[in-house]
Amino acid sequence: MRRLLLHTAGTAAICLLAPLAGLRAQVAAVSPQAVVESRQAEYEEAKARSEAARLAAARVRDEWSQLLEQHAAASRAGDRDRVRELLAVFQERSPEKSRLEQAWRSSQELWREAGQELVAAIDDYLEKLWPATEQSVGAAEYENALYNELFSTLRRVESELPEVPLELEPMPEVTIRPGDTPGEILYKARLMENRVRYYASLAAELDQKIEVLAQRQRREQNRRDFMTSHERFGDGVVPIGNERRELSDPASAPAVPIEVRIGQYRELREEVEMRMLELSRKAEEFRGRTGGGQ
Amino acid sequence: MRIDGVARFGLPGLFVLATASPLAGQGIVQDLVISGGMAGEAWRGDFVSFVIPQVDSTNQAVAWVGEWSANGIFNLARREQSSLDAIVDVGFRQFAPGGFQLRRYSPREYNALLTARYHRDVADGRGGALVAEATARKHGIDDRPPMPLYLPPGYRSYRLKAGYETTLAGSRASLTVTGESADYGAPVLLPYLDLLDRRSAVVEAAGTRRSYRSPDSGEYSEVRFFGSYRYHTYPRQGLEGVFRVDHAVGLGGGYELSAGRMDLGVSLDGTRSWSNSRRVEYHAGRLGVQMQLWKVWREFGLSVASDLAVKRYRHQSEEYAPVPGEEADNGAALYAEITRSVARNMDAAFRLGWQRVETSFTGAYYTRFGGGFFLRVRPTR
Repeated sequence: MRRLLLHTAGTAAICLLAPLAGLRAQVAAVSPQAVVESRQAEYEEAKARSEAARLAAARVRDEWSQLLEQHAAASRAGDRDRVRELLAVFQERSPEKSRLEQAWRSSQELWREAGQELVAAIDDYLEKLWPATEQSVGAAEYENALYNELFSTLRRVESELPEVPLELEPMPEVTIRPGDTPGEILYKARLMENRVRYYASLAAELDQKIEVLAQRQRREQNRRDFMTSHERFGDGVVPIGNERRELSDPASAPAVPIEVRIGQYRELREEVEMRMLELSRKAEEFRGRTGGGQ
Repeated sequence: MRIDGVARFGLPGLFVLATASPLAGQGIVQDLVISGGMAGEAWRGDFVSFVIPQVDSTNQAVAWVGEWSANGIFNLARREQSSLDAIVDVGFRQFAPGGFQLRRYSPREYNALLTARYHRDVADGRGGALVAEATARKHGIDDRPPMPLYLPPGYRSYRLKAGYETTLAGSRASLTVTGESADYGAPVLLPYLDLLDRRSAVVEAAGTRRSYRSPDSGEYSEVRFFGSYRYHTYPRQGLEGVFRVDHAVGLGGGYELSAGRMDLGVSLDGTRSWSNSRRVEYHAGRLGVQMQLWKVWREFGLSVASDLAVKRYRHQSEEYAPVPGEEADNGAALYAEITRSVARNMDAAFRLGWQRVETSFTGAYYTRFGGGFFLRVRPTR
């Protein structure tokens, strides 16, 4: 308790006096707690901005969908005037829609960055706290409490952060134009081969991620299977009375279940595989057109 | 014994519908496992249970057991701050016993369980979490055999549970309230089973402190303490309109460790029970140990669970006066399972189980020992 009070008083004094001396930035750089607090404020602000941008983009997208429906109805009814009128509205609103969608994507990016910075700051703080907490269960109470609180924040932030989109960039369409020289065709073939190599490394990385998650999943499933199998028919229930059913912890379940994450990675892996095959086939075809040159 | 139509066909039907639904392809099925297997079991002893009126002169019995079961977790709704899951478990077990003198029995057990679980974070998780759970369970048995082949009687139960968990000074604190009703639905020829009907209310408060071994390894140790108050009424146990009412207070603790390839859990709890019927007042204690070892040898995993329970009546009588459904004083059980993955979506398991239950007063007991082989298929893996 005494350490807690001293720590709080010290931090408060630093925060109050530092701006007067123009030293706050330097102090923040040396005090991990101040860094965490400042990054957390930035993170909350970025999160709120992203949410506002999402709502704005969603509103415009809803209006856009309604316009599309109206356009389809007008086309079906053969109402050319209405179709022309709607096309003009599309043209007028298109820049606004693009701007808001771009703003939302950017705000998500900023939110992710703020989150990563906060996670890094917490990690750094945890690392500094770790020697104090690892000594024993009876280590300094304040450090233990702070450690657990920071760790909870870390898990919350990690679960809140928008997922990095699990999708690939659109695949460029590479074709042979009428005036292409054999050298240009070969160059295009090499470009595609480079892309295949990139996809191969991405596939290997995805395989590794899937493997790690699958191992964790199997461990959890084995444990659940074992407990369920001997509880299912009440084999453990004997005529002794005093049956104490274990009350489940309202413990936090992961925001995205492990099964869903594995599914997302598998889908991406399949797409990568498909692109590799397609690009390899095309590169081979291009090389064939040049007479198999290197 | 009559098997309730809803439990026999309704829940399995719901399960089949849920898995065959087009939603299965949209990530609603979090986990689905179908398992089947065979086991050989042996029972021995002279234990007498009030609620098994069938008698046979043998003290030994053996049985081959065939088992099918399915278990699934379905994400019905998942949002940023809340989730709604359904857990469905159905099972069927057929026994082919031998060793009885009077006739050949052919017990069949059915089990169906449906749980709906709602979880909601309060104030983005900083204010804690609320959990509400509703469970309906039906356990049925046809052609229940005499002792020593002890199989629990059939019943249906309904349970409602609400809990709140928050973080206090770096530890998790939770308060859970549970209400349960169990009805043993005795047929005309077995009225004793009605004695087991029970209504319960349980309040439990727990504190858990978890220490991570390092920030990103997922390895941890956890200490948990809890206290509970339990209220039970037995509306069919009593005389002249006065029914048995029990109050029990429990205290306990547990330790969990997850390190490397091992998960270990140890729990110990004690209970003191009061009743308006002096002869059923007791002290009881229970020790449980669970351990899982992953890749203990090559790809083999080992799981072990053991339980030791002891009960002592506070007012000893000169005469042996067993309480229905609570005839035993001591019980011990040990289960072990060796598992190995045999295909991408299939695991094989070899299970061994041992159990001994006894009374202190007369020394009567029964033991159960068996082993079996099971295959578990996960179609969605």
